[in-house]
Amino acid sequence: MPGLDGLELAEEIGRARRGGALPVVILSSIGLREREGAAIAAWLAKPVKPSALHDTLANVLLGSVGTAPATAGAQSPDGTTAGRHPLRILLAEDNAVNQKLALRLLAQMGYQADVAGDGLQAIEAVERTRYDVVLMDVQMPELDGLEATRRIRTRWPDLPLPIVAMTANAMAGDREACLAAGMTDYISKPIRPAELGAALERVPARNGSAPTASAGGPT
Amino acid sequence: MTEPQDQPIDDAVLEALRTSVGGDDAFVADLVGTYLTDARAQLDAIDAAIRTGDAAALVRPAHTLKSASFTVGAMRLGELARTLEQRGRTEALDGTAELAADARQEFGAVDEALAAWLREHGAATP
Repeated sequence: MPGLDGLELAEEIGRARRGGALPVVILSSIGLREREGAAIAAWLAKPVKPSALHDTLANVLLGSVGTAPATAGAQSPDGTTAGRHPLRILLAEDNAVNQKLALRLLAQMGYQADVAGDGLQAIEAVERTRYDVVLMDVQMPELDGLEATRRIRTRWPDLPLPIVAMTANAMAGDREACLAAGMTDYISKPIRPAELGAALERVPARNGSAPTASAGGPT
Repeated sequence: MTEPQDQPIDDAVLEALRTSVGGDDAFVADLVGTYLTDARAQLDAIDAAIRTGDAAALVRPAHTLKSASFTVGAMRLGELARTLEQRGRTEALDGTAELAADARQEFGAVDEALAAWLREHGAATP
């Protein structure tokens, strides 16, 4: 834009509002993030597709207002979902392609997850490490996500560990089967950033404390 | 007009994937490269399992091929792999050699379509 470009404008707005309450989404025809900044909630490449706009707005608005939420491309260590809502995450996914994609989507939110390649590895990881949440593929060979969850619940009945099912099945009853096995939430595959972000937002923060805003207090 | 299922790759799925990673074509190219490499190995494992009549050994590579194919938009190949996985689970290996040959042929089309998509998006062919 002439005069004042979008980035400068976003920074001005951020200063004027002292870091609060107005997420800015940049529309860029070049598709490059030439500058990162806390002032920018998300980037969208032009021409903007309706689905991309929808996902981005969902991401931006599902995050806490005033902090940079879970967006594709929000990579600054501060202002990510992880900065505001730190979680120790275990990703249980057998497939290299889907692992890479899930890790990338988590990284965009600032999270670094541990990976288990099947249900047995997931149980071993839970035994070793106190995770805040497990993202569990339902259909894994060796030991599927439902059975792995049942075993975790049987072995550690008092462990308050959220387990989020990831499944490509869209059949009615899947959600019930996951909940019956002891899973606490459910997202569909292929994973969408907005859905993943919303599921992580529902996980209680570390040590049971309420999420705290990373931006300064209200003016 | 053709239905997405008439194409080896459903562009809408691939485009949604691209959007979800912020339009990072280099990442998509890398992911596609992983997919193509793994899919070749899975097709080989599927053939070996069928050749030796080992239904249990058919399940895992077919499952993995199915799941990854749906992620990159290779819907027809994903469906073929789904059928092969089911055949493995139910130990019904009759006709699976033909299904595996269909899957391999479909993979050739998927490979070409993905390479074309990557060229269109300015990413190097893996």
